[in-house]
Amino acid sequence: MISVEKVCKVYETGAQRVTALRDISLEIAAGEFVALAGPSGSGKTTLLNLIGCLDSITSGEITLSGTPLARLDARGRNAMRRDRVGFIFQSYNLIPVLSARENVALALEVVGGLGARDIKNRVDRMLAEVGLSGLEDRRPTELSGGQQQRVSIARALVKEPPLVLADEPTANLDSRTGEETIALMESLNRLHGTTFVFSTHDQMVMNHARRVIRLRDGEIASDDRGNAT
Amino acid sequence: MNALTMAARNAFRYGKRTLVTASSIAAAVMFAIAMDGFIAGSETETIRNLRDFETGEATIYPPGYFADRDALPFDRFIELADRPAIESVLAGRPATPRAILSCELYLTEESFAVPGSVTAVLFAVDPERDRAVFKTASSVSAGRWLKSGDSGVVLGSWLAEDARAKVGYTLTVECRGRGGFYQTFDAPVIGIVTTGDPPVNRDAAFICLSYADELLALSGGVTEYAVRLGGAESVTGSWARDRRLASETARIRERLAAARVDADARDWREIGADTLKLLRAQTGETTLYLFFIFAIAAVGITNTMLMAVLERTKEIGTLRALGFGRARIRRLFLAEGFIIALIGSAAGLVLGAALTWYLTVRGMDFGFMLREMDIGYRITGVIRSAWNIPGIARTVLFTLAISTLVAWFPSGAVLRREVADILRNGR
Repeated sequence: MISVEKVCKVYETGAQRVTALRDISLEIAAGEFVALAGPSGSGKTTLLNLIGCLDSITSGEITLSGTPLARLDARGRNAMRRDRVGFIFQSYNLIPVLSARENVALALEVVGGLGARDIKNRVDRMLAEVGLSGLEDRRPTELSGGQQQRVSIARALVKEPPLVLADEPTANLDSRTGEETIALMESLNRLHGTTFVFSTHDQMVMNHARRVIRLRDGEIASDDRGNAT
Repeated sequence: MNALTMAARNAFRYGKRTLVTASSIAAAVMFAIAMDGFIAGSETETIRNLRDFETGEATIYPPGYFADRDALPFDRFIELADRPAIESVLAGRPATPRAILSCELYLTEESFAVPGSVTAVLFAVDPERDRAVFKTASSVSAGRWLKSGDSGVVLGSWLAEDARAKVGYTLTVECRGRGGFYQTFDAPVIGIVTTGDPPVNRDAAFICLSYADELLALSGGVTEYAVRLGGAESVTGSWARDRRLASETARIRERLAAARVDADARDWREIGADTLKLLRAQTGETTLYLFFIFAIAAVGITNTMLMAVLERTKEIGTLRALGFGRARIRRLFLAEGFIIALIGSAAGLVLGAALTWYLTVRGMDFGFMLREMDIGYRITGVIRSAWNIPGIARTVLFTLAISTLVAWFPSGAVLRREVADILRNGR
């Protein structure tokens, strides 16, 4: 599913060079539920960004579903994000002027090929799946943090991508809501077989992961498959 | 969710800012429409007065006269012998022979409080035939218009004021007759005309052509034949109508040549070329002024869109992460700029139309300055606007186009960045 081979990421700001990832190599199989753990600045988010085509690789190669990402131009990376990857963000990143239904529908509209009725049916089904039936017409400001994150999860999954990347999905939630959210992600992973890769430094969240890859200073410190079932 | 709906919601998300920007656009559109209507009204009035009081729709001149006409040469004439041929070429169209010369009006009678003289332009006209081409005869504000055989003079109203002349006073007119001899004669003021045309009000004195013929030894010679080609209703100048007038004038020129009459026919546009140039220059000045107004509105919308982009950088990143292409996101901002411009344009259209309506009905009185100052317009007092529908459409479309276009740029800098960078540094 995902193959990361000797990947480096260097940020250059003027004369300053910051190496965020150093020679990272790993493999993630389809259907895995993987946590990227580590302290702030360890490279978790950077690795997620590179896998999700949100950033460009400095050196090395990442292959996603057989497609080498380093060779893709901007258009190709855009198509990859659109068709093959769903994103869940720490602060939900919902569009405030859109209702829950419209936010989720955006992900389908950008893919295209579906009529308005089909989009609505799929979106409502997805929102029901994440427990938001009856709240479809509410705007983000009318929803709690946990509900917003559920909308975000629905948006990531509605187009049925093979891969969902989540950057600290529970960091802005209280522990109970956070646990509910990660449990929801886990159940969706089992139900749909979608690969989930998420970053976290929350032990409770890591406990749900079937594989925990720990990063430190841009390198893999450990790769623990202890929770794998 | 189409781009326009999302853009509309975003536009109303920052209601006050949208209101301020739309207001500046509305002000620009309102001024542009009102100014355009005012210029159109001034031009229409100027052209109407030019034709009704100075040029007719075409004029036949003696050879070589046209180029020197501003100096009022009195040594080139359409002779009496040629006049039947000219009448024949004109084939019954309303036409009036005139002899025009400069003169000095002396105010030496006891009636005048201050003795002295004023320079004037003396129009020797056929009182009846002149009515068919010019509206001077129907602009009498005191006394009466000339009758055939009259030995009196009709003055323009400002000239009468300058000469402190009233109906019943007698002026001494000094001028040169045909051949250059000096002629001086007394003429009672029998009427005063107040026209819409400043040069007539300011400089014109009218006497009977038959009386002038005797006094100035014209021997039937005149300096011009003014012609009305298309009837009295043809005062407003559409492009097609002017083209027809020009071609008719050209035909008259050809027929005069065929009839072996040595004379030159010119349409009103050629005769009033200087005035039309001045109108164009003034329109150009106003366009420049309007350009600055629109530039301010454009800066306003650029600023608004820049703020929108900066405030919504994270949303842009999210849309990019969802797979929205750069062009599609730009279209969202274009649509937002378009909606703000649409609100502003609609408000400006309503306000501009209301102002134009008021100015078409009531007008603005510029009499205080037009009396003393020649600003090129052939208008004496109240300037009224005219509806210029193509101009209004142009203004609104231009505003929409410019406002939408300037909304293109602010998102560019953000969209060039990596998506991760946009998400990391966006609000």
